[in-house]
Amino acid sequence: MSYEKRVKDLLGRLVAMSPEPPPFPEEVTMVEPVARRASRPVLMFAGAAAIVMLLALPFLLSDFGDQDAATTVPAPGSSTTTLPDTTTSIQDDTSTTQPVTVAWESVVYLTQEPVNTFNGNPALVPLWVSVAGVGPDEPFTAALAHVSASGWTLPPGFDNLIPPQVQIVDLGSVEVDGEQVWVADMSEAFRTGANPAGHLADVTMLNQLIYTITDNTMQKVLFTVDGEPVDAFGTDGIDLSEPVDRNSFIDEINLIFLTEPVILGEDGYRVEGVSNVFEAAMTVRVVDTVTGETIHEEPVMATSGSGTWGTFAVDIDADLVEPGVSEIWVFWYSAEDGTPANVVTVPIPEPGIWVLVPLDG
Amino acid sequence: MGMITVTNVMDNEQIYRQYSKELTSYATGLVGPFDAPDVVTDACLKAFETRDWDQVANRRAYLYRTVLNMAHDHHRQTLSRRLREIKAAGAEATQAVEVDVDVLMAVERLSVRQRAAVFLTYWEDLSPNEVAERMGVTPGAVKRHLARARKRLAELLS
Repeated sequence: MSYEKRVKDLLGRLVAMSPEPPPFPEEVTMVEPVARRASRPVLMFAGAAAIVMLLALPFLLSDFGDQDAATTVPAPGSSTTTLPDTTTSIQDDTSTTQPVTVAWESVVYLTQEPVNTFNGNPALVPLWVSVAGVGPDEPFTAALAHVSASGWTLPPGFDNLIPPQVQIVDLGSVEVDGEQVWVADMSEAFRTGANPAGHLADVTMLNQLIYTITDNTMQKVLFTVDGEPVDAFGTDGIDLSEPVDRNSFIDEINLIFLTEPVILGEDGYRVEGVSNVFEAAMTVRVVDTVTGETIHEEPVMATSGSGTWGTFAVDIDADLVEPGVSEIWVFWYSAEDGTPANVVTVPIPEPGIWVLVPLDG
Repeated sequence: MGMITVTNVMDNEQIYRQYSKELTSYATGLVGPFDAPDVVTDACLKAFETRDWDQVANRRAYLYRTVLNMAHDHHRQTLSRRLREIKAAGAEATQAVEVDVDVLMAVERLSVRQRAAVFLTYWEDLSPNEVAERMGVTPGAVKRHLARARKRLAELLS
């Protein structure tokens, strides 16, 4: 029997198991698109939260001066929440005067200038990074300050708009209007905003911080300086006296961005994010960065589009991706001229994680 | 921004009646018989709620693509879990749900996209270009999926 006949036989047996079609989904007549979309922001980031929670917290909460102490934040007019000590990956040799070698592993949200952007907004791209060689006397700083372009090598094509002097002094939680939210007590330099200065840079810096800090346990963050809410932030004096979340400044991000780092999972490389493009139709492409050749391309649909934000996720076969060589693009084909638009590019590192080292290291 | 109009509902219902059977067979080829109805329902709801649904030229191909996307969310683990449950339940239960475990185990070896390429090529007898349209990929990608599927199924079918 030929291969084709054997496959057809297999499929015939499979189709024979096919159940009756389900009844017409009558509930479609009850759906009001606006109401459904309004509920999406809650769902939008739930998937990202687990990894961010697991990986970002150690990075944010580690205090090498007092690792046994729990971290609390003095929040204005409220009780504080004790957070667990979750320091990770420490190879300690405190018996000598040699610097302690530590490596923080975390998901950090960096920025990227998309190719062929329509609205000029930068993209957010979370990367799973390992920051090596941090000394024991290093002051407790923001995770993103550690990957500042001024002090650490960044993967090519990525930027960090958080100036090194902007630090998370402490991190805790507080109840606001019956909801528990993160409280990030920032250094004084936070008030003046991002580097370079300007509204878009300020908002991008805020988005980097918001996305890195928030998770599925607490989806909002209140920024304070010296324990007081910040009522005038950055160039335009943005009022941050109320908690903000991942949707607060979403319209100032690229029309496509990622909410989870692209890492190898059981079903391949998972590309997951949020978009707001025409017909919710996007494309993912695997590119060989050595030859420039497109290795693979496939469509991906978001849950919503054409003016509303939706989520998307696709698994790319591991066979198609060569770590250290491949780059994954996410974009939509412009209806105007058919070119890839709002392109987000994610290089795939060979070890699966970006190892960042100090420039002078 | 109101509710979906009566006209659209009628159109959608007609479309559904026309394609639901073949979509259910297709979904069975992708995720197995257990979850196929849910995949078809979710896919149709999603398609019907799409703002630009009225402007979609080839709705049949669009529904196939949506079913494939929905099936992808189910992953292989779901089918694996079902198979484990069936095996744990024993032969009597297997007979009761009328499944062919060997066939499902073969399907489980393939990725969802490989299943789609195999199903559309060998069961629907579509050309590579037609398969590509239903899957929303290039004909070259279809050939690659088929080549990998052949490799994975070779041992089983030899």
